[in-house]
Amino acid sequence: MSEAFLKDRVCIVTGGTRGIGRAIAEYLARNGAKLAVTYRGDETAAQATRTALAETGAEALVLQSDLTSSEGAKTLLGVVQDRFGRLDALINNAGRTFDGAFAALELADYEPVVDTNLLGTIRLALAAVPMLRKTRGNIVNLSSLAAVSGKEGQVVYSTTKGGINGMTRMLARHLGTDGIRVNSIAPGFIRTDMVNELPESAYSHILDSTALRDMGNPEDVAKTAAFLASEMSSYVNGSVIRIDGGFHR
Amino acid sequence: MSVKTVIVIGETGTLKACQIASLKAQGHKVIEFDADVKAVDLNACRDLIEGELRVIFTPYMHDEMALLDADTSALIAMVGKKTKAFLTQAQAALQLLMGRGGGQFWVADFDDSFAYHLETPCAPICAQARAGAVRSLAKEYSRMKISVNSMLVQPVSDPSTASMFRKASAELKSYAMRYKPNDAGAVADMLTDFVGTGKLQFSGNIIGTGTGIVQGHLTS
Repeated sequence: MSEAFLKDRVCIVTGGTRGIGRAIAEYLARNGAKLAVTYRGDETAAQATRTALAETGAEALVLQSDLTSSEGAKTLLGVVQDRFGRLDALINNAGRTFDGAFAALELADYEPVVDTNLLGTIRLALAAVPMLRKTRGNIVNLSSLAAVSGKEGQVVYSTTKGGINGMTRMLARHLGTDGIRVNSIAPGFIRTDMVNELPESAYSHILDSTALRDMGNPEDVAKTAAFLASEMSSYVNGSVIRIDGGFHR
Repeated sequence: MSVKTVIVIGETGTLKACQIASLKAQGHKVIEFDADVKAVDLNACRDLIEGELRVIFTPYMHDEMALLDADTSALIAMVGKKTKAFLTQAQAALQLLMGRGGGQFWVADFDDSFAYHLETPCAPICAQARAGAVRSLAKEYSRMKISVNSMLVQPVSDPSTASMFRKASAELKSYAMRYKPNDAGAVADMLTDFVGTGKLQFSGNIIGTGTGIVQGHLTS
């Protein structure tokens, strides 16, 4: 990819102050994008992200947003319109999980997973459509390998990510004539802070089922997100792209 | 083949009606619930179960494509309500299955690949959410001797939608791809055959039915 291949493209990255979202934000910034990055509540991570993005020289906003409400989505898009005057790509990354033996979980504990991952993603995507129509922009949704291959202990999470895959297909079909592309990324086992705290015995079986025999890095996901957010993927639409090092189990 | 108890949960529709009729014709005991049944009511049917247990969720009948055009707030509310209802019902169903020492858990949904040509209701978000659930449930509950699978059904025709199917078929110019709707009774009979066996040798499958267009990469 040429340098600054996202030059002056305005992108939103939700949940962009930690893990994969942070890597996406930084990668987009290093390649010329103007950014609005959202976070739910971790002010320390938000400040660190502001600092990191400033070092890239990119024009970037880091905003606290509640994307489980329509007001939160409207406010975010209003800020982007006021500051940048356009939107070229929405990267729907914000998500959470509540793992455990499914039959024993309480709805009150896992309901926020549905509200954030699935409903929040749909809400912001649909709210952003009028802005994306003007730029023939695109939407990149973060799904998960859990929805494509399944993952014990993550039934609710994989349900929400499966729904995102369905939404991706539906919106791609619905918005294609407007020139808006909609795609999903399904990351497998990625080296995030949470994973770094695990003993190797907790994930060695996953690596043993992965062709590359290694977990991915957040930047591996970020590169694909940047590709999909750019015109380099101009004929990629309605796809769910696995980033899993060749995991087949 | 021994008689099974089959709990059928779902919205009113052709496939649900055919499924119940097919199961009863094979002598299985059917316990029917509406799509909005509460988990507590599912739990309460525990004493009605005889022999091996099967649970079938029949297809969603709401139309997400229509709501996308008409009322996006209603679409989001609908997806939230139905997804949460499915999750709580699935939990109750799994508890019943575990209580019987295993069994089969099935989801049937309509393939939305036809939505370019066919205006019958389809629910890609909720259907793929359930497909995602099935894949993880299979991995989590195989050790409990519960086989979890999904049938992704090419839309089935009935008299009220026959003209839509004729239009869709005409739009598909290629002879090889010329679309013929599945027969709902035949689809139901196939699932009844799976339900009847005590030796199901798969779990975590998304089984596509249909003779025309089949879904692409999501099932591969």
